[in-house]
Amino acid sequence: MDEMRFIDLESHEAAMNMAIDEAIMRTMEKGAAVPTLRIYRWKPSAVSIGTFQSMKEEVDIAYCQMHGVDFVRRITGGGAVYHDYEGEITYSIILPKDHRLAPKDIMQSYKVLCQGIVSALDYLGIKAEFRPVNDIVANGKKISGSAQTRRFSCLLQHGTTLLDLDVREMFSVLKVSKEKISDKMISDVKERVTSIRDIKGDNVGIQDLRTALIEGFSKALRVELVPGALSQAEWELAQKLAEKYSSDEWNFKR
Amino acid sequence: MYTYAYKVPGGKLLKVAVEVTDDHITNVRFTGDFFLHPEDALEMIEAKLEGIKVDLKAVQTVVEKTFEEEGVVAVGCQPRDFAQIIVQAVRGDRAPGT
Repeated sequence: MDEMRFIDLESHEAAMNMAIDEAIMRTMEKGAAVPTLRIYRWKPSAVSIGTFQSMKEEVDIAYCQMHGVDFVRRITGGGAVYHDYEGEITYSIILPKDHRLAPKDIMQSYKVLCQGIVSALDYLGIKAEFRPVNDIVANGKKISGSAQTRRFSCLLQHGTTLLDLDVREMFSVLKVSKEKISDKMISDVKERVTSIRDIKGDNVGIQDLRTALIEGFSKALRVELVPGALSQAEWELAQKLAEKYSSDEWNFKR
Repeated sequence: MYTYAYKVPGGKLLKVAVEVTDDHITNVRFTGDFFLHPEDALEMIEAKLEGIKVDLKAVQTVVEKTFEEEGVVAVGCQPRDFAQIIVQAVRGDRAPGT
């Protein structure tokens, strides 16, 4: 079974979370980092937008600033995600582009890597399945979403798995006119999106999801997760890259 | 400036803001929740569209050529969607749901 470095659950600001992903990729490109899985939370809670989205159009900046919610542009495409500190865990998997778990075909690689989440949910007793292109659904509703990029001779896939869902807060952070946040809109989202607690009840905690992700990824990807940390070089690079991810130039690029 | 938003059937949301002088694109910016690999291709497409006539075929040709040259893989949208949305924006179509 191949080994994979595992960076266990930790919490960072939005810019640092995105900077760490890029730092690992850049280090891996130089041959100085091994295939890595990391799981993390966003502290403070944050909204991340897809690399082609407009920050001003997607995010209620004034609300975020007033309530201490971070916002950041990702290097991956896809949509805006609200990362509630109490309500989700994000994973990132970084692989050299020729790794057995990184099929050249993008659709295929989503399918392969998303099995880690499907298996994690199975560990929690939730029957879920991969829904192309990049979602995982349980009871027909989205419970996890992922996004992928190929840069620096690597594949990066990161994604969120919902433990809990605060629809009202999600709409407050995203640019939805406040008058429009009606009961109808909230019930519409609940028709399409679900969470672990929705299905299994409130006694499932962050630590349960952490354990499930560890079990799920090792089982589905057939890897031995070896506890590790960022190297000194990766950490220094991440700190530098965090400046980019905090800058208006990057975040308001579109 | 003309804007338009278009949900690609079975795909992602594609939005455009385009400036036009004498039927030719002077500035164009696409946004949305689609995927392009490599991502840098989008800026190339935007740059190459400057000076191009607002015409479905002309725009689509430029986008397709960049896709080909850069080996672009798109998820949730195709070259014709980029062309279609510019034409619809300039034509003044109302985006569905607005």
